[in-house]
Amino acid sequence: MTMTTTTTNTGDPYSVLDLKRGASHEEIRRAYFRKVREHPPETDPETFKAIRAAYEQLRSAEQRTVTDLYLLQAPPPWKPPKYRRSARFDLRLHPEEVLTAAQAFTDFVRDSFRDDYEPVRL
Amino acid sequence: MAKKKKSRRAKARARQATADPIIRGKEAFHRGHYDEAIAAWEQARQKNPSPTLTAALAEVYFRRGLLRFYRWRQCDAGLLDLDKTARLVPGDPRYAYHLGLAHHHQDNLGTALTAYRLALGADPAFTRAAELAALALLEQGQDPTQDTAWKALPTERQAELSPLVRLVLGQPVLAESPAATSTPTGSAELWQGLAALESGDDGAHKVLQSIAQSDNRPAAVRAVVAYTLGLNALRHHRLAEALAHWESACRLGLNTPAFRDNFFLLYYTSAEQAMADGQWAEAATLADAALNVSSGDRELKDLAAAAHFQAGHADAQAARWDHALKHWEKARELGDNSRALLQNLALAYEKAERFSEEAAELWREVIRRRPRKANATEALTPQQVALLWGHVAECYRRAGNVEEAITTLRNAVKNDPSNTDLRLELVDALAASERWSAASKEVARILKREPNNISALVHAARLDEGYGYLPRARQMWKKVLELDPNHLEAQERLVELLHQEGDRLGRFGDLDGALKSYREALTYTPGESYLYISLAECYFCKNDPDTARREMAQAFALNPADLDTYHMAVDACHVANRPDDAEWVITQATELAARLPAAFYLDLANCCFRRRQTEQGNDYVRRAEQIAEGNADDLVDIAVFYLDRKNDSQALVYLQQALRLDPEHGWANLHVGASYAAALEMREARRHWRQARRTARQTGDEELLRAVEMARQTFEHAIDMLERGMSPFGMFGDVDLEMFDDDDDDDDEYW
Repeated sequence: MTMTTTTTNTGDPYSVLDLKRGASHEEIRRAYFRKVREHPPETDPETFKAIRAAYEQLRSAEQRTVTDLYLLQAPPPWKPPKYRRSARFDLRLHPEEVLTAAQAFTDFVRDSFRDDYEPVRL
Repeated sequence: MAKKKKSRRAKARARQATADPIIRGKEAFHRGHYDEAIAAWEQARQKNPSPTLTAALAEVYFRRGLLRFYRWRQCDAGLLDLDKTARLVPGDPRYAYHLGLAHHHQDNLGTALTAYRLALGADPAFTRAAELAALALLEQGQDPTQDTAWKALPTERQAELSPLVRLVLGQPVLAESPAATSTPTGSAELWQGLAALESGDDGAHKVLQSIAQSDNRPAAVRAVVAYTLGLNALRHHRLAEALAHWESACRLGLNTPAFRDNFFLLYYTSAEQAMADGQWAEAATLADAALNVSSGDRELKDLAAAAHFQAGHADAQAARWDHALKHWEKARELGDNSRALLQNLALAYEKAERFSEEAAELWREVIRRRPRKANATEALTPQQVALLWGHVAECYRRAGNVEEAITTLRNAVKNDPSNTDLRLELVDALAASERWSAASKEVARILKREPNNISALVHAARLDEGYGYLPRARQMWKKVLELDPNHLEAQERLVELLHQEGDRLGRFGDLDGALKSYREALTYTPGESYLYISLAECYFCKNDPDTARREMAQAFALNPADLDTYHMAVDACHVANRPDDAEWVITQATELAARLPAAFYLDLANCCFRRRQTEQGNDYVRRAEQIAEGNADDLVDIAVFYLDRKNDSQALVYLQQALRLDPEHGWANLHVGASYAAALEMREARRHWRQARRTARQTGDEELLRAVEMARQTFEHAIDMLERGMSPFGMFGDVDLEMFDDDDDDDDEYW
């Protein structure tokens, strides 16, 4: 099994190089050199490594074809639905709620009435 | 005789009692078997009705009705019983009251009111009925103070309920009076507080807050208060505070329609706000909470799915793949079936090393849903589709589904026939499912297009080897080496095949053919000493000892200290039946190599015994015994040799000698321990194993450590079986202490 088909590098090389996904080969090259100037290997070796790895993923047309296949997909921007039902709160306290509380002071909330039993005399 | 008569009389009385339905019913009633009691007393009442019997029947119907209604949740059956009760004894306020209460629970407010009034008619002092009648009237939107039931309430209860009545009917509630707080339930402050807050008086906030937090108050009361506090917070646009109050109300069991709608809307609005602020995880949590309140709302589901997709994306970008996976699974559950989500989900599965069929199915779906128009933004080229199919196949292969892997690889090849890598993957998959013919045909197709493709040639050679087409396999490997002279696998395989061929020819007496094969093998790897030994063996067989010795000398020169080479050479001499030459090799070995260990002679002895050269074998054993004196390692090797030959007593002699020389010798202690264990002397066995374990730890001998653990487990298990009266199937005799594939399982407690 070759690496090209098995490896899905899920880091986004385009974002490492600050590029849009459809960037041209020239744009990729320029972005790479710009980034390397910003993060030279002597001062920032870890970032440089990431930049280099990202560039390797996009460098050749073949490799880029594979890279593009396994990129993390951005979710579509979320928009609230145009026709939504009324988003108004009902800010009144309804009798129903008050009566729910009132019932709590009565037999209404009991479920055992053994004390209401009477003995049987036969 | 008198005793017999007495017993007969007792039995007769018992029979009579059982026959009497009243007594039978009484017994059932006292046992709590109300069905039986009702059946018996109904039977008795039909025969001989009486007021006491009717009263008894009413009581039993009453008790069964309450049980059915409240405990067993059989509301209709319970209502029927309670109705029967009230009809049997209309004058008992209890029965009428409970009939009313049950109807009240069922929202049959009219019927409930009638029953409450009947109860009050039977006993005007039955204030429970008056209280619930007032509530039922309020639920109907009527003013209970105008009803006769109100008059049955004591004055202090009326005072307590008055603010409630005004609050429910939307009338102004009077300010708190000292009389109100001293009412029986202390509920007046609650109604006044609710009314005050409703009318915008924040002064009641503190009182209601303390009620909401008081554990002494009924849950329903605290729930309504929390809801009211939430409403007030919302009026002042304090969304987070409102949410906290309503979450509390929800936990306390509030479930009115207005509350549900408001609660849902608050969650929804908060989630929407979090989405707008880019707080994806928080939006997802809020949306999930809203779904718990109203799971069927489509808009909410869309919002929740979007929140989970976004939250997962943020997690994946921060390399929190396990979190991302959970979010995306939830998003999918909520109905997002977009291609982007499926692809991310598949990536997350792979990141989590879950190369399951599920990941494969997701990738399949990603391929299936690809834009078909060539000019579409996300259109895939046939080459890319082929790569994705290859990826699907890989997922299936890792999931162990070779058949699906083959099917998908065929799809891949169909999409891009020029992709040799994919075709070779197909070959591998076919070979893995033992379809040699199909695999060979696929390789042949590749080689037809690319005759010099090294990978294809390697596959072809491997397949030919697997098939047993050795001459063709040799040709393939030779071609690989022509194209890439440094191809390691080709070198190794070709040398191995040529050596095998030489051996085969030698066995059939074609010594010249064998020599040719070995010589050819040497052209690929001139440094392999075993090839020179094989050549020497041939020359011995051809009665050319001088050349044979020269070849052997070349082998020894390649690696003078390698005892294996000398061992092979001695063995070759014995195969050719040349014991003198064998002695010459041993002399060479002694001169060129360091000290020959006992194991060297023991291995030779074993080879001789296998060829039935017993005398020669025994001679080597004697030599091993001679040189072993004073060397614990050698003594242990001899002991193991005897153990392998089932001569335990002789082995023990050498082991004891080894221990005398080195009491801490790990392997000696291990084997001595095993001997004690076989004799069921576990105390001694453990003592030796403890020492072996200590030595193994000191010297870092992992192999010994595993062997000790294995011996301990095996013998302990066998002894445990013996103690239970089971047969350990001769485990002691068959324990192979040198097989230690088990993981090291330290069990310090045992030691």
